[in-house]
Amino acid sequence: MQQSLFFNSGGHRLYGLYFGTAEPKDKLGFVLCNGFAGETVVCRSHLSHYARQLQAQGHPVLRFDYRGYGDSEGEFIDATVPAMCDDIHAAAEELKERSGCEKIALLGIRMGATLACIAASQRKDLHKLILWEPLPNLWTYVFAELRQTVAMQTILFRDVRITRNEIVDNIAAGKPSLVDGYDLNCIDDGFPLGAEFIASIKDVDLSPLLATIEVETLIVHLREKEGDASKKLRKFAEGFSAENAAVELTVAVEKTVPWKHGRFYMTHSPKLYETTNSWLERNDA
Amino acid sequence: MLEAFDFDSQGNRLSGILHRPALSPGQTPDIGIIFANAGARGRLGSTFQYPLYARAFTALGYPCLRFDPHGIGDSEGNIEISAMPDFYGSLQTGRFVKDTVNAISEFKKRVKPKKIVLLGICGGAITSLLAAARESSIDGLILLSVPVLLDAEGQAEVDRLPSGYARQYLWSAYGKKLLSPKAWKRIFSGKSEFSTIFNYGRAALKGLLPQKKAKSQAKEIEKHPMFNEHFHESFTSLVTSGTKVLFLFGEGDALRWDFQQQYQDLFWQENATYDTQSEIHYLNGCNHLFTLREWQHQALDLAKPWLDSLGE
Repeated sequence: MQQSLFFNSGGHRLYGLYFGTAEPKDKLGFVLCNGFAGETVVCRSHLSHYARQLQAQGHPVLRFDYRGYGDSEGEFIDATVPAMCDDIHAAAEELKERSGCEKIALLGIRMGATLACIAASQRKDLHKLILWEPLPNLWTYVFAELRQTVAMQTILFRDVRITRNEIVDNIAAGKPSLVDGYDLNCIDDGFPLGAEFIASIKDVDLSPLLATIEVETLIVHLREKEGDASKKLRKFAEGFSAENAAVELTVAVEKTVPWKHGRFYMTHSPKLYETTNSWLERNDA
Repeated sequence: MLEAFDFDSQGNRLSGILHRPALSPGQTPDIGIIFANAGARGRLGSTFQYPLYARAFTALGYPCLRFDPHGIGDSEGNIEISAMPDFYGSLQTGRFVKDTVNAISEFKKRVKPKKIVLLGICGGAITSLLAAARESSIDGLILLSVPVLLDAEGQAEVDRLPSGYARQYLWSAYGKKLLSPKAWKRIFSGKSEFSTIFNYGRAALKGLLPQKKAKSQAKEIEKHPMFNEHFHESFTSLVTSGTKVLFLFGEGDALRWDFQQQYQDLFWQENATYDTQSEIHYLNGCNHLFTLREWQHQALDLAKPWLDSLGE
């Protein structure tokens, strides 16, 4: 059984979908951390489907929306990295209170995985960390994604009237990037970016944080073709301290990766779930 | 005020969000609005536009329900893995209609509005239309980027591209580059997207070639091979029974050409009620999914007076 609910974080009412169990297995509950901007919309189904599998295994789960995202209160533009990490902590506390579990596992997808790493380094009750294709460098990712906004200009104006660097400068200065009445300070075709958000992703330095994480960690590279995990993720995995955490980096191959507009329509990721379940079994969750 | 709740539909628990306006005790809202799922975006819509619309409508006193149909977002149920065109085709022929009809019943129980409007974008628009035709209590429809043709496996990409749109796209994307040495360098180094250029080029040329004339002079309408008969049947039955329809299209959307050429040009003169019951707007520069906030606010500005007149 699942239950839709609202809980508080930093003065905002956040939406959550709670999957309860009568007796939490190993007193362990899972908080699911969604991705960034447009990815959050399509990844929602994939997370909720997996939540039901975890629930069937006996674990309570909470999937939630960050402030300014989806069904939660607030404005997207105000969701900064520290605020989103606060939301993860609020979700973890809500889950503990509702389910009676004492230990928390954080599972994140894409930017949600990166945020889960930051939140993981701040928690004492963390038991496991599952990272589905984390973004090792948030700023590099966001800057690359701004290409879409540039591409949009060629359709709208037959020209690139404002470059990515100019957009970033305008955002930082709190100025709109106005072209023919459109404010192009946005990403993924329309999510507005704010100065505080940009500053907060530029501030993220995962290296010192990863080394402090002391729980079993799974990192999955989700691909559409067989192959090794990317260099980027191999380097990211090396950032964890071998003394502190047992880290496994693996690959799952799906017909379509949720955040890409592929040839197949998928609302769940069976291979990704299989890979994660198998790791959980081997690690006694 | 937001309420999160779950309700039953065809054996699945569906997840819904109800936006309640501040009303005096005992006051019944004039109009309630239900949002229908578009693609994989469920109750959020692209760039979170459904919550944005719902907040704006609620501030005007209209309660709104957004929900995820089965298998999408937070709702239970499974959708089999399928090729994209097959999924979209299933949506255009009613995959989520029963869930939408059940959502209407749930909304009526919880809110009891005097009139109900369904709103949807793309797949959500065609779902709204099909559901309204199967539910007698729908008074109005707000349809953004509604498709009149079916997607299906085996349909050539070139058939999906209206020639007018293809010409506009090629001119926008490549016209200026004809004088750019950098662009020619990309072509000769094989870096250009040849398949896109080829497909759009073929579609653009197709529209310039003389079309085969029908052998018979009979007044039979020559429909597109992928024309969605469900669209025509539902639309006709709704407008003749008094339902009002607001059509909104992005000026830069391929589907608006489909609507104009494959529907309006062929059918509109058949029935005077099409015109009297409908209002159609083309938003300057706007794309298929109304992704920019500016376009979303333009859509709201057009919807508000239309809702006011429906409530009178």
